[in-house]
Amino acid sequence: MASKQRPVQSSQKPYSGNIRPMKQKPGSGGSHSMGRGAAGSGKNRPSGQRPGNEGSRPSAQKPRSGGGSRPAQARPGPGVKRPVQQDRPASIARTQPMERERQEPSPPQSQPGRKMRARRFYDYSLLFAIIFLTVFGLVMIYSSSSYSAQLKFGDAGYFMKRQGYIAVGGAVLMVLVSKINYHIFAKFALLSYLLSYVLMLMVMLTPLGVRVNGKKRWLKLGPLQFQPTELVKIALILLLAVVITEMGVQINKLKALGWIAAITIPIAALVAKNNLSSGIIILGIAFVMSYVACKLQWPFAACVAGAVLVITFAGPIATALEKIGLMHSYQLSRIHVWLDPEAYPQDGGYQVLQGLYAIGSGGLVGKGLGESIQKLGFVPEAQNDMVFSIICEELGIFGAISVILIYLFIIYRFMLISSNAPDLFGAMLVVGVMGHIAIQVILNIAVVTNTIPNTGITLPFISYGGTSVIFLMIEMGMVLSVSNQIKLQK
Amino acid sequence: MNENQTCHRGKVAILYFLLSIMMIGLAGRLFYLMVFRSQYYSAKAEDLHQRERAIKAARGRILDRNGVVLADNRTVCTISVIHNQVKDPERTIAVLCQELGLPEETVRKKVEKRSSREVIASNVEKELGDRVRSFGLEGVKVDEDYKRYYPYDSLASKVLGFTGGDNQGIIGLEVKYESYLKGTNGTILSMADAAGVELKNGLEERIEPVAGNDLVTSLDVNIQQYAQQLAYETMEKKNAKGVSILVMNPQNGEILALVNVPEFNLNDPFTLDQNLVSESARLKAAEESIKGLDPQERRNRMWRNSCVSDTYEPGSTFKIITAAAGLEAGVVKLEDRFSCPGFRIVEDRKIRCHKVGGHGGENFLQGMMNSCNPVLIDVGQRLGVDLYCQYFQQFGLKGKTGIDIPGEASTIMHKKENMGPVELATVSFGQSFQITPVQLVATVSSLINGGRRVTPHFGVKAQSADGTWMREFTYPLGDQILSEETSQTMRDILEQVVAEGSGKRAYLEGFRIGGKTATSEKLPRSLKKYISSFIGFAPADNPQVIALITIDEPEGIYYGGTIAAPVIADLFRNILPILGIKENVNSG
Repeated sequence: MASKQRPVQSSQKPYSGNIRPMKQKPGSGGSHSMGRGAAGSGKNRPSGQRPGNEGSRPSAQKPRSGGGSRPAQARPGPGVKRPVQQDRPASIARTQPMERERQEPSPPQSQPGRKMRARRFYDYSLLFAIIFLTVFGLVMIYSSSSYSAQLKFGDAGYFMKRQGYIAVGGAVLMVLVSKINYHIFAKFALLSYLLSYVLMLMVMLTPLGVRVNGKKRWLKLGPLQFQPTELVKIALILLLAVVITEMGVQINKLKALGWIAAITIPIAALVAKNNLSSGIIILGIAFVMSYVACKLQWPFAACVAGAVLVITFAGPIATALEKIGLMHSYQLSRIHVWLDPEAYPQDGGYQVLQGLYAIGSGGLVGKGLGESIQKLGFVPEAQNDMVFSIICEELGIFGAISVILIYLFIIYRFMLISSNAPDLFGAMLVVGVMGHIAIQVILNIAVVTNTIPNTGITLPFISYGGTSVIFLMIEMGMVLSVSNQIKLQK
Repeated sequence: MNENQTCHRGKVAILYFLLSIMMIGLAGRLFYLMVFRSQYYSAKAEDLHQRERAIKAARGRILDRNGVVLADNRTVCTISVIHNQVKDPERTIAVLCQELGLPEETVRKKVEKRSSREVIASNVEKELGDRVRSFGLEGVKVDEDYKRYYPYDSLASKVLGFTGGDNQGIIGLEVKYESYLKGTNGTILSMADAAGVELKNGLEERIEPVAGNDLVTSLDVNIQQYAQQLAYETMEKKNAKGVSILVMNPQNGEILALVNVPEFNLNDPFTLDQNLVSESARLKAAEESIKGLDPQERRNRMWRNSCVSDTYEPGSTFKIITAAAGLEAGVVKLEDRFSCPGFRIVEDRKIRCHKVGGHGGENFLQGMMNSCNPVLIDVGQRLGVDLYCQYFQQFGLKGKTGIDIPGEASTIMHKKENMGPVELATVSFGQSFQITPVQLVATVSSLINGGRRVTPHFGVKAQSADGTWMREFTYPLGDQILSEETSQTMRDILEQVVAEGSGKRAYLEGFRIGGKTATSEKLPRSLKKYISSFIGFAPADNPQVIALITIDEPEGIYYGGTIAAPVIADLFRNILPILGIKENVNSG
């Protein structure tokens, strides 16, 4: 990382000119934000930013940029110990960027030996942030669903309890997964990817697919009922991470992007058939992962520019698409509703409008926990996609922004873990999860605030939904597992 | 590889940066929605959540001239249950059954019905409602409400009118003075969920109702009661279909009493066939009921104020108008001689006098005292159609009187261009056209009070219950329609009618009474049905009270002078002292 700031350094050279112009700009910009964010944890970035600030800094660069590439465990010993590090609480410590030269399944037998010398990192702040969000989610599920649960099931805690059991199970699973060396997951990448095809097809073609609220999204296997789309997301993250790692430098070619697209688009299309929003998320994950992995930038810039264009002219484009039959009329009407929800107060605009009422009536400090009125049957299924609007109503702008800040913190931890991951596979794994969580959070809040057309996206950790919680927890386990492979230096 | 990874770090950082920007953007959007648009959405949401319950404003009372309450409000309770707030259904059912005296089955059905609110009983007395409330049953609501209450039941029912379910006036003064009486309803704003169920601990906003203003009328309960009693007696005695008595102050048009029997109970205005004291009225009711007349139509008939809404041929009482016009125009003088052979031939028609043998030779005054048709026909002919119609109009007979109760009927009169001598002749003694009794009273009042047109009315003033606000209704005297002298002459003539003429049965020892009798044949004449009437006033020299009685289809003797005049005498005997009109020993 720090090496970017120093184009003069010799180690850069082999990668020649095509990298440098790109690195110049975004690199400095990126490391700014990161440098600040990491000021407390990763010590070498500020030093890169301000060379000569401290005498010891430049020396630190050396082992990072030059020696860091060495497969040897490069314990930079004294040079690493920084004053900066001392006042930092035990979050990500000065970590050794483990470069494992594409040996994804790291030899497990070497682990015990190292363990003696290097303490391994475990991202407890992330863990606690996740636990906090999940518990907060349970509180909000109880608050937003107790009324309808009481009416429907005679038990105000119905949804909260169900979610609670699953969350506890998921948490256990998360901890277990986090203790597994993440390289083992790579072995299942292809398998789970193929399995997700099978399951998706089963949902669509076999009677095992269950229709809920008019959407065939559920798969019923014996007593188990779940949404395979959640599996698809995690499988795709795994597979893409493996593929990108396997490609190595090749990833920087356009052809590689073509491969990634070839992996992603069929399954995304399959998902989008019945669940457009999940399809979009899957595309988004692939987009984010390839963006991070690939040094090319124009394809992504083009994509973003295209997306902005589409959103700007959403109305006319949707009308045209509907005319040529590429779009369902219900999707078109959603776009119209989005553009002017108050013109459709009863039809499509109802949910959005009720959500806006909830958000708007929250004001600065909200009505207080449990005091929402919109949850009393006005916002349909308030514990699901629209739970954020109830948070806004009850906790006000302060509560809502606090929640956003917690998500930002979680994503920030992802970034740190990814940056410090022992190898590319780990980094990409975390980037995938980061993309997944961030996209879902952003899309959910955007839907609730009517910033984008209404589409069913849940708010991670908070919205009610068993499948989503289980798979989210597994993903978190994977991220924690990556963090667990980061060696702390003594 | 390292190079690649450092690249990732940069990209991840950029990614984080971009995601943060997006999230901050969303936070900004939230800020916009929750701070700047908060009021807008809060108001919309409040609209959605608030349930408005009206608190009925107490309707203003209706008082008589002495402050006696004619229409009042009574607090009644509506008892209802809210299903999902009921904690102890069995006890609730038991208490409600016991207290309200309802069968258990009905109550159980309502208590156990899953509905937001189920009314168990309405219009329950306040004491009973309080008792139910004192049990403190959860889910049982006792709502207080006002109900119109008329202490005198049927007294002046067709004048006062009654109110409907929303406390709105339906007929009579209740309608006419709705805007004063109504008041402003208050509201209880409470929060409710999507199903409309009120929230238990939701904030309640209360906007207090403003009670309506009291209406002070010119009615006098004593006179009204006495007139009503006389009317019922007459109706029963003469087996009439109905009797109406209108008592008014001829100087300013204040109506002291207006009776139309049979009256109906204002506290129970929807029950048909009330107070049918005469056989003929009962027969008529039975006939209507057998014919299958729509009950609502029958109710409308029952509620009809015949003095105001029905027209009739006034008959001989109308000779007052012809006489006044003749005297005013100077075509006749009191001493002018006429002869009555018992009929008068006008063009090709032979119009009879009521006295078959004729009155022979008589002067104009005697003609009036005898109520002689040929005399008045002659006066009418002397006036001619043009002049007669001019006076008809000038006396205010063409229009409505402007009385302050709804539904006043207009005069039905020949068109001037269609009036020939025959029509003129019949109009001269009160036939072939129709006016309302109140129009007759108003016109005669104007002719005897010095010649100023009066507007008959009930409303005197509206005032707030606490007396802080008041508005008097003014009814300025109208145009001078008759000269003072002619008016004086008319008073003299009419006093003579009572003193020595056809109205002598209205004579009252010690008082100077003026008046005129009438017996009008109802259409079609072949049925030989009559309306007997008498209009009288006192004191004759300075009229303070004028009264008209009409008896609809009396049986047996039907002459107004015989059956109607004594009723007015009786009435005056009792009400003149109340009105402070002293007995004049000298004039007796």
